[in-house]
Amino acid sequence: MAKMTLQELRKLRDTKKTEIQKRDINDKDTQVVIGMGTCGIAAGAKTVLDAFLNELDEQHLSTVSVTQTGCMGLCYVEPTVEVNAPGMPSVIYGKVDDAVARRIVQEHIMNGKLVSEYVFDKPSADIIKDGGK
Amino acid sequence: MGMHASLCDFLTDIAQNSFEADATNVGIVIEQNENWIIFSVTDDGKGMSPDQQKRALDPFYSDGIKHKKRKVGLGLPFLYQMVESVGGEFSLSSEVGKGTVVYYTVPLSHIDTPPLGDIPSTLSSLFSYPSSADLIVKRAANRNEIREEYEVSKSELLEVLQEVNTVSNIILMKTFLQSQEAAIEEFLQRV
Repeated sequence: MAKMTLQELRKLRDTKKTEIQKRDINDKDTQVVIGMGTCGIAAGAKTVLDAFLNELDEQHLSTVSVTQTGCMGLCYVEPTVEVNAPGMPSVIYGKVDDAVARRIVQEHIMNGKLVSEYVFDKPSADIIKDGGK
Repeated sequence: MGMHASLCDFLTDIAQNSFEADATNVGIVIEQNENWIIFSVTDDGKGMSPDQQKRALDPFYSDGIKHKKRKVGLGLPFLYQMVESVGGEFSLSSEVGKGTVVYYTVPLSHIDTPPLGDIPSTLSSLFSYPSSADLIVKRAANRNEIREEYEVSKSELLEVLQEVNTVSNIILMKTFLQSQEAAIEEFLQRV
């Protein structure tokens, strides 16, 4: 395989962009934030990040934003993932693995249903202001 | 870090420290020769005092800025422990207001050396990390006095892709990096 140049990357991007526009879906308002502190990484956050990317891509949800953050103070339930989807409460999931990540995409993001067993609500009380009250 | 941590996991963790140190420029070098892999993470962030540097390797030390009540900081201690256990070299040099360099080497043949891990996926996630810092990655392999290398920066990727945190663009970055890594792989098998 020849090394791809930035020029070729730009062309590939244009092709992808046209495909996305043709499908006329925009999931830009949906955001997935993955906890990638030491605790998250040690618990497998990178596998989870890859699972989200692959599942979102397979489901043609390619304009969802996937970002990372540091420790959310929930080290005991890592890997943690925050999901903000329009019309849904902002939720932090804990103990996420590859399979749970795919469920979150299919159930929460695509069907507007929480994956209740894995919901861990909000950041730990000693991390957020006013003790989370 | 647990049994399954890869060298890429350690790198992700250390690079994140640089992003959180308010750096404008972060540099990562991954260079391998026959027997060793050499890593360095360089930033021009806020840096550490000599005292902080000593204590940075203590797992029960934290500057208390990120999480006020927490008394642990495990990133550098984990890395230090791993490097020590495989007989590698480790150095931390830093200056307040100037930045920090973390340099470490790992022997490829040591039984306890973690697997390298997935470089394209690691780098594409680092490029998509929410930080205004530029990230410049230099990757090289040396064998029989011949060298194969590539260099890629967040600023040039941003110029091409406009944004680096959507699913499709992260996957495009991964594809791009996979082709660069394939050239390194091919070189290592050929030479």
